[in-house]
Amino acid sequence: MTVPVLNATNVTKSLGGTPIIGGLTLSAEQGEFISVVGPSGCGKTTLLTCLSGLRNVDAGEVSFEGQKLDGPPDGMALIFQDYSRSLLPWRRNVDNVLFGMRRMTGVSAQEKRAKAMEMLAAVGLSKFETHFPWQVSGGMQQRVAIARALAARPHLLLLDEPLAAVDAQTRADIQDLLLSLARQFQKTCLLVTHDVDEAIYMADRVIVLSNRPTHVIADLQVPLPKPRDQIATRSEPEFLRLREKVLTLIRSMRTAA
Amino acid sequence: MLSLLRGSLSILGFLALWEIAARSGLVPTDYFPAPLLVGETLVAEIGRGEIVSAFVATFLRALIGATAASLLAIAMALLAARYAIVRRAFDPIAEFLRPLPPAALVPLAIFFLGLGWKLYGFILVFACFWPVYLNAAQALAATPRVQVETARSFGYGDWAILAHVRLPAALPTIFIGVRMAASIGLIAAIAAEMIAGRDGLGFYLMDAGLSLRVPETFAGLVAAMVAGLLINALVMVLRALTIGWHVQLTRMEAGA
Repeated sequence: MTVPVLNATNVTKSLGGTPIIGGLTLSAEQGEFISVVGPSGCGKTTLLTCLSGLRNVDAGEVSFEGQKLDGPPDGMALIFQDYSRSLLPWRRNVDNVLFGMRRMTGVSAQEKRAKAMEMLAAVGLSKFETHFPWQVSGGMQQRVAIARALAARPHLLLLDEPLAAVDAQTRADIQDLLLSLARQFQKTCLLVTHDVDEAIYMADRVIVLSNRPTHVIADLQVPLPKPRDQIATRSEPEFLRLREKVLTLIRSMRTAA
Repeated sequence: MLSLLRGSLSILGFLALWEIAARSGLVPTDYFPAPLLVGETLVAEIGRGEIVSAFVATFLRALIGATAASLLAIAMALLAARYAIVRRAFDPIAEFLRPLPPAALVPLAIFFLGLGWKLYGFILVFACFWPVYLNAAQALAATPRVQVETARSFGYGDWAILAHVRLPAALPTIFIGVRMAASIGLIAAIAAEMIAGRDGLGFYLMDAGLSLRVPETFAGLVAAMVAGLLINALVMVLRALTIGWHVQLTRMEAGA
């Protein structure tokens, strides 16, 4: 049995005396795309900051590639919902991508720059290298953030509701872009979202969280054919069955709360 | 361009009214010399050279003082941003000393520092330090959390975050302080020269005013005004060079 890329065991976390995470266990295998959904306010973002090493856990353990986490590790990159603030407005798009490459040592500045340009091209932004983030649309800004995360050459991508703030058409485009990039670069991905359709569409596995203090209440395989298709996949009977199941679980918790 | 023209027209109109009022005897010309006479006096004074050296002395004092104070204040604010203990120790002192008008310090400073450059250095740095420090400390403490977390996740340590994220994010606000420091620097330089100076525009103005050379006093005012415009222009050029992105962004957000 191989070591999972990410492994959280019995994680507990309180913030300001309020228990947010209560005994949560999950793991991600190499190359998997996992979606995490849950009722609103269940602590998804707190969970992600714990899984990324930005916050320490109170009890339990998070390990990344077999190593217990103590701060953000090399090999993990985050994409935030708040792209317009996570990008640095004083850096041009290419320099924002370069910002993500700090851990890449022993590489000349020229090579780094070439690599950054390559990543911008991979997200379809070749013509916008020298623009500032605030000079391009919201969808493009999120693409810059994706390029920056990929440029760090992570083994694991953590995505915190990255598409919650863009319009529906852009969201579909970036979903497909993320799927093809995850495939092309063989990344393990963990997507936190409140959008059940998105969660199923993107993932190999959907994890459903409970109300606070949150823990895993369902862990569902998504046996839908790949590559996914915005129209065909979403009308598969299996997609609809999963959708109904996840929505029912979440609704039952909302009435319980 | 049009607004510049309109602005010039209103100033020219004001000067013309003043000229007419002076010539028609509506105002006592002994105290309010006509603009043309002030202009002639200014040219004559520039020819004599005294007003030029006074201008240069005051301008350099303000410039060097404001620059030194700004650098010192930014360094102090960076330390306060990095080490909470520095901030906790220094901020009460800042609150205590800041309300002190710099000119009130001159007599004591003469006693300790004499009448030379040390006096100017002390008064100017004291006067210019606070607006830069307060703006910088406040801005460095207000970096968006998501930017700091992004940097941490990419492997930036505390010092690197300060240099690559918090300082650049704070620069637009720091420049508000620097701009204030530049004009305060000029005020403090002229005030110190008036009280304790042997040269500079402050001394020139006192000398001309007390000996009732009214046109010369007005010429000195014009020189002080030019110094103010020039030092502000320097700050604006430096700002455009350092944070051109912010100038552009603000203009874009204003919809211009």
